[in-house]
Amino acid sequence: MATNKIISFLTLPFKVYGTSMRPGVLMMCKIFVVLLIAHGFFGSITDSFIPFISSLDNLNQYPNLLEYFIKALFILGSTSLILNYKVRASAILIACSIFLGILASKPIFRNHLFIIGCVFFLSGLTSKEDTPWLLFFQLGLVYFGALLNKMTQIEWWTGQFMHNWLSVALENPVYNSWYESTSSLILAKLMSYSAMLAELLIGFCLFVPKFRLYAITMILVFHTILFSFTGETFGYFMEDILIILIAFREWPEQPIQIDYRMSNFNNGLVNLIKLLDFDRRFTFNKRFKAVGRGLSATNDFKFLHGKSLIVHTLLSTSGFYILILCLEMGIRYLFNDFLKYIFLLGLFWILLLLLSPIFFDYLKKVRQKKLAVNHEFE
Amino acid sequence: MKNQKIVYLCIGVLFLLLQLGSVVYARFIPEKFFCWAPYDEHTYYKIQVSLNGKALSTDEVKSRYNYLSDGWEPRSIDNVFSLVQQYEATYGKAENANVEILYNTNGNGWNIWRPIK
Repeated sequence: MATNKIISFLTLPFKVYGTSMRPGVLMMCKIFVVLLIAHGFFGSITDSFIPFISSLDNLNQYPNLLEYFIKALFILGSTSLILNYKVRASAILIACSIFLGILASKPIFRNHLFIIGCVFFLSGLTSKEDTPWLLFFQLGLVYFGALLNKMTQIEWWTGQFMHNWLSVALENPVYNSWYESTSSLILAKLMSYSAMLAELLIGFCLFVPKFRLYAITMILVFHTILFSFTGETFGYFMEDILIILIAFREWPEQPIQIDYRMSNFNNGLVNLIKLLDFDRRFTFNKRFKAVGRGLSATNDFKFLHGKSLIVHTLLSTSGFYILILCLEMGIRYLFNDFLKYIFLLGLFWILLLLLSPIFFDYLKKVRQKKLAVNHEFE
Repeated sequence: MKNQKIVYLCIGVLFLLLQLGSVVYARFIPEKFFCWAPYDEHTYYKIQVSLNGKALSTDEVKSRYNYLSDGWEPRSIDNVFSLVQQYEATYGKAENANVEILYNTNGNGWNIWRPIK
């Protein structure tokens, strides 16, 4: 009995159900805590130093006071969030520690840090019952803001920004060989316009509920292509954006029973899901007869089978996200430059291909709906 | 419970509107903090500081401002000017340091910026 309690407590950091937050939002918050720690946010917290609010410098009369206060906020918020205790209040505490940390020190301002603060704050304000539309709008605002700032820079229109970035800063061999043979900025212009168009479309689609899946798909494709071509994750801005997408996913409310036909592949898959499913949301029913579908289940909304079921199941287990996070961080810390780029490239493209059934399923459904409407008219 | 939800919602909307305001406000000032402007310009810069005629090393400059002293700035270069200016007008005022930032934005050629004393 006592052992069970200890195990249950130790697995709390990996569980996302049964709190006042939606499972997806809590999963996102937990990953952000790990990301912040791994990227040294805690160590970057200082007393007031070149602050945005100059009166904060008055606190320097009491050395370490502000630093310890911000660090205490972060430790308190992170610990309670990780242990699923008062998760919404914890998210707001973490947000406050980030905002205070930035306000107290201009040099640590980064967009990739600020966005995490915003997301924690809005997550704390979002109730379990509601769609996290504050987060949709936050992300939409990021894309519209980025677009507006680019549109007002003449060198985003002439291609000069993109040319300097790719050719001089990144020394991109593909771009440079093309430029050397043509001496034209047309490719730089094309890429600038594509980036601005992508930001416009993503921003717009995020604000319209009907188009949100398109926005999510475009975000995944846009950032993966951008990474493929530049090898840049912009600090950890790209990771931030992809992690926020976790909050947008509807996680199943009721436990799901998966029926599966005996085979080596299915057995292995079931074992993997059991390993990743810390919340024990999935139960399994083995079929010995070779009839029916290999894998099938009915969740809150629909009947799922095959590849779609595998993807939906993996995306509804906290262990899957933790696994991806460990892989991503492992690659970052173990490898340098070229190998890091190659492995991250492989990881991002595999993820993109893995997630594609959701989008294709959606398109199929839209098509079927249209056909049904046409039939009605006929 | 319902009232609490509405209050939280209003705070959330206000928070987003503040950001929107910040995006608009940033059109009228050179610095680009809190306005979602990553990679709107790309600048190579080098901060040079000399105290009493002695030039500080790259690491010394870095620890003076807690900021990269030589490299690429993917946000507005005015963000860097802003923090150097603030340092020299406050903590570093008595030192009367000679500070110069050599910078090249989007490959358009080198310029020099100096803090206002």
